Amino acid sequence: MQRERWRLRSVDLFVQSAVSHRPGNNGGNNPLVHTMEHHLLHQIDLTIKHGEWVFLVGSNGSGKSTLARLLAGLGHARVTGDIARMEDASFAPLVAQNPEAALVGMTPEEDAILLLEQLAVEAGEMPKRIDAAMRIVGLTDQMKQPIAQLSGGQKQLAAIAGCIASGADALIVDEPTAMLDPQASAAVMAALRELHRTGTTVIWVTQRLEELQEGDRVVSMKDGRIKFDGRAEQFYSRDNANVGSPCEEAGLDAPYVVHTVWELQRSGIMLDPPMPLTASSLAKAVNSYAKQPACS
Amino acid sequence: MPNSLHARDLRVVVDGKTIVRSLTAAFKSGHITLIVGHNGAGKSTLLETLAGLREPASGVIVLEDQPLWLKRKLNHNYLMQIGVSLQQSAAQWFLPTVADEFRYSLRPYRLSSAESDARMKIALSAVGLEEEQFLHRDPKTLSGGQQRRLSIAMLAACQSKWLLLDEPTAGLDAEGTRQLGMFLQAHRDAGGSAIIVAHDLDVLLPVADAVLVLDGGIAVSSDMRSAAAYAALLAASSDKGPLPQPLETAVLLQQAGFALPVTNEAWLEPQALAAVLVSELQGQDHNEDRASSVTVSSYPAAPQAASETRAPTSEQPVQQAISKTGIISSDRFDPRAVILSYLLFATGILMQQSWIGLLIATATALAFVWWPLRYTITPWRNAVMLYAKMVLLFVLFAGIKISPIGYDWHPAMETGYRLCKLFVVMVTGLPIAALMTPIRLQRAIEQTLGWLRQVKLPIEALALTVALIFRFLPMIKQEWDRFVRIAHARGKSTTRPGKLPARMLYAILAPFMLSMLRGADEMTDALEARGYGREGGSKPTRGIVLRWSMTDSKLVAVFGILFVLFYLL
Repeated sequence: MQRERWRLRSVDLFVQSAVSHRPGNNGGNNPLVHTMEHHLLHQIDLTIKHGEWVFLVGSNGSGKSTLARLLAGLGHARVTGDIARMEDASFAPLVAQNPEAALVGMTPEEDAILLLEQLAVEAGEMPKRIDAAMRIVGLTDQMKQPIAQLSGGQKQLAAIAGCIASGADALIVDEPTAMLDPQASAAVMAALRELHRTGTTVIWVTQRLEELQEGDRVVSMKDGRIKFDGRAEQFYSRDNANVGSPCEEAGLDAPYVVHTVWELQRSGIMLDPPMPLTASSLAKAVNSYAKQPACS
Repeated sequence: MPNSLHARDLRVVVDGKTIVRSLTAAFKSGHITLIVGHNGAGKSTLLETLAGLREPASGVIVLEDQPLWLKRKLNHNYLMQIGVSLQQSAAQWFLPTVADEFRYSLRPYRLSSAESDARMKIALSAVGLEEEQFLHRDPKTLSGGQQRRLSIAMLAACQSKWLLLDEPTAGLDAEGTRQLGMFLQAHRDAGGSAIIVAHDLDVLLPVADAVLVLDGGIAVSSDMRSAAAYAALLAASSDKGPLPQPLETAVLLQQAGFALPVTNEAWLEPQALAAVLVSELQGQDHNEDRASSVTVSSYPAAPQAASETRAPTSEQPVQQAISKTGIISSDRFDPRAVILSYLLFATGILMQQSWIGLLIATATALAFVWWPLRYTITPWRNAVMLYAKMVLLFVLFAGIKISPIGYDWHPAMETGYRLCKLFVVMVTGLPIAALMTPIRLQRAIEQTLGWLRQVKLPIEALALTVALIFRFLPMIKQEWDRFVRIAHARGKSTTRPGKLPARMLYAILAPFMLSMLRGADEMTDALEARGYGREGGSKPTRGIVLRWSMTDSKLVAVFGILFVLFYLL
């Protein structure tokens, strides 16, 4: 029985923001500034187990980043409802799109040391932890290089490495590949899959649905509400031709492979497994369909 | 070549580094051309140069019959035909309403106000923003996605024949991406052309007509390829790297023995692919050995070309560059050893009493510092040259005599001698910054001047501040340059890039300040998110502690010996 890393029950989140009314539009004479409370998250029920991998998806403004920040314990919003964290949980660092903003040191190693210094980690322990973290993200050869000379993907990995070295048992990444090219994106994905294998809980916030694999857990959001929570295959399943999949209902564009599978289904071809998500599993499924002794 | 945007032998240098080299390319009119390549391949630099936002070191850029550069000024006729959108252009807003922003962008076109209003409305609806709701909004208060749509609308309103776009899909959601695709297709159907820097091939390759591949600032293919040919090349490439999903699907299906038809599209639409698969699955004899049909490969294998398309991963050149130039890592020496050595050397030079001594000292500096550490000095080349010129000027003036009018070599030589000594001392000091990181310097101060704590100087508290300031300074310069470029692009100014006319200054000051504040905010946020400041109360530890090593002693010994030699000279 895996323990619950986070458990949210009926959580609502509100933020204050200033609203100004321009004179003229509504006939008023004075510019009026007042604060207004925005209701950003509605009735969030979510349980994430220790060591789980979760994709948090949604379009711009769906509330996925807000939820990610709430899980990381950031922000100064008013929150109602019940949030429980695993008792011995460490803090969960969050790494966002732009690694430039998150790095302080002049080299990946120095950056990690500075973070550990601030977290009051014993100096004697640092080299061991940092070496291990750099190995996981594959930056061992670059850890003493100036950060300015690293590629975007390597910078992102450097930011993640510091978090790993800090000993966090969970990591939240908010669109970490949004500013990266495909090679670099693949490297970040591989490093985090490896980190997950070593037991770390990973929450990956994204709009790029190509990053999902079969069996991954997907939590999709729209207008501040959780609309779907389940396996990636179900996220794309259309119950019948008239009802859209949870993916379409969230206003997200399914990957090419999924579109192809939908078109095959429309022509009456049901693959097994029914919803391959990657190019290789589609090719495999189509091939095994062809090898079936009889198909009408 | 008529009807094209033509670049010949283009070379672009940024901060002393050649980013684009001997590039020749013809972008055809009526085509959408993608510029692809890894991060750092020079794509953005090339696009900005084509847009007149960077001055090429050499080479010619011509649009139809209009050259981009007329002597040292930009050609207004060229600029009026292009519309430019740079990376993160969405952060450029500086006027109170969306309508004002439109008017600013449209001003160079000298339209009637009725025409401007009409264009605004059409452009807004083309990107799915309702006019009455958005025209009077403050653009800075729009959501990120809406701001990106607005910058597309801005381009649409200008109705430029040529669009130059840098990563237009970055940050767009599904709906925004769909609109961008439709906008680009409508633009081409109306006879327009576009040059787009892209790494999101999934969206842009299907709408593209041609592809230019860049690697290390060089066009990899000697001429441009059609989008379909580029897709074929990518698919045939043996180099393992992530392919766009549609291409990967096609490749794997073919390996499994499915024959896909050859088209002049980059790849089949899902509907078309499904239709092909349906007909193969239902119409074929399944006992047939599927592997035999592999020969009907739709993608002409291009083995010799394949190796050139898949550029090496961006990590490799960095490593090679380092092993080649022998960069000394910033934690090789104790900063105290570096500073001590420098003080010894500088004193040695200043002690010199004769030209011969100075010459020997200079030769020593060249051999022990300037040449081995030349990579740290080249970035300062301009400043060094400026100083050298100043020295020359002073020397010339120092010799002038007023009464009687004449020239005396003695004071000239005397001034020259003193300034040359200073020159050598200064150039020798330039590499210091590269030999230590700000944090190591801070530790050197902390460890050496620890007694200052007794007089209540908060040396330890400075650690993070020092590191942050040094990280932030280059960001400020980059951000400023970026805003100047965006303002240049929108205002169609014909002055040289980087030199902004005073009237346009207001166009960047406010958004620049705002962006700096946002940047600082983002940084605080990102640092807090990574764990800074979490363990409130506990005293930071010290992971970087300087220890004097054998290498440090050797370094000081070498410079100590040089000092003794200088003393004896």
